[in-house]
Amino acid sequence: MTDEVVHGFIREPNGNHIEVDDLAAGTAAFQGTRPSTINDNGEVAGFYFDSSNGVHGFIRSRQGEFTTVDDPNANNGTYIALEQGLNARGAVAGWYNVGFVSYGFVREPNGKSITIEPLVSSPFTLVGGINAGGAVTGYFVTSTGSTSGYLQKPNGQTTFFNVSGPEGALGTPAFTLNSREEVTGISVDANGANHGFIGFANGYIKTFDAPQSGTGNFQGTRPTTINDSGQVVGWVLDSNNVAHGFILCPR
Amino acid sequence: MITPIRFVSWYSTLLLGLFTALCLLGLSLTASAQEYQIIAFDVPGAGTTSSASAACANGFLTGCYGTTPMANNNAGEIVGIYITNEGVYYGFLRSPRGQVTKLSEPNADTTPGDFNGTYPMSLNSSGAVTGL
Repeated sequence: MTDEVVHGFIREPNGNHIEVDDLAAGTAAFQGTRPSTINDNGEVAGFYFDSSNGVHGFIRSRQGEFTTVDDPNANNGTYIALEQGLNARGAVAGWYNVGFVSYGFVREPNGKSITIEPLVSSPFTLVGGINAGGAVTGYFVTSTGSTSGYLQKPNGQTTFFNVSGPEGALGTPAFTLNSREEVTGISVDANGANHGFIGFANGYIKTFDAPQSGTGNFQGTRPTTINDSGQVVGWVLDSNNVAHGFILCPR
Repeated sequence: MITPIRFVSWYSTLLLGLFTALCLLGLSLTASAQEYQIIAFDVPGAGTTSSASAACANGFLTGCYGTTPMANNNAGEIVGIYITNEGVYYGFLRSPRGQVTKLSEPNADTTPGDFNGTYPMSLNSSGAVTGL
């Protein structure tokens, strides 16, 4: 990032650097290209801000060709999921806005777009991750203003995640999942502090707090991704608002 | 003579170490595992400056000093960012054995205090990284 313009990059395993700039991206401050996910085929997905600050998704092929992803229903931007927006088949997931209402979506490799509505009446649905099998996870805002996590399989079967009791007083957003449909996310307590969780397709939830977790607003344990071995990584915000990494290993 | 209790303790310790090693190396574990071990880490160079407000962590792109992992792959590699005490973002790639490689894009703005720099978001099974 220079002159506050955002540029994407790929760093290959041999250390070679490739710039990732969608030609349709704007070149003013804070505009530009924001990759979020790279899959095992070398495809990259993300979104860019154009010269009018409109937001569009993109897929970049391994050869460097860009495809714009605009959900056909969107009139106020299409975003690719920030943490796990692209799977091995080339399907992308994210959310699009109609006015100020957000809907989740999956775009299949053939270009077909599917809206994800775990709760149809929700004014805000976000997809955080899509796995190799096409299952997605994310969260939505309920009518009471709290958040609920979900796992939705390609056949439409949906599991909801809600941590009960004080640990989940303000909601349970889910972020990403692995190929075994194990989900990770946070529950937010009445102080606004975060606690990590792993959720399973049968609805079982295991919560955890990493060492040094603070207990104030926005502090605590914040998982980011879970791999196919069940290893979760993320960060902890301590009581001084300093971030530390953590690795959770099942045993 | 080893008592059963000591044997169980020794055996449990061995299993714990084995499972942790397998996990860090990205090898398979049981899908229904319900017990966990958590390992904390800070990468060299990460800032330790307190932020006045935890709002630095409000959202997906943290602006807090310190170490912020963003993704792991099936090999157990971890990619993330760290913010130095001088207010510069750098990326890191951490191997399953804990070796850390600093990531800094050649054209990234590393002016102290600008809170710009390199921000990795994802890596694949080959260790290729993407970000901004």
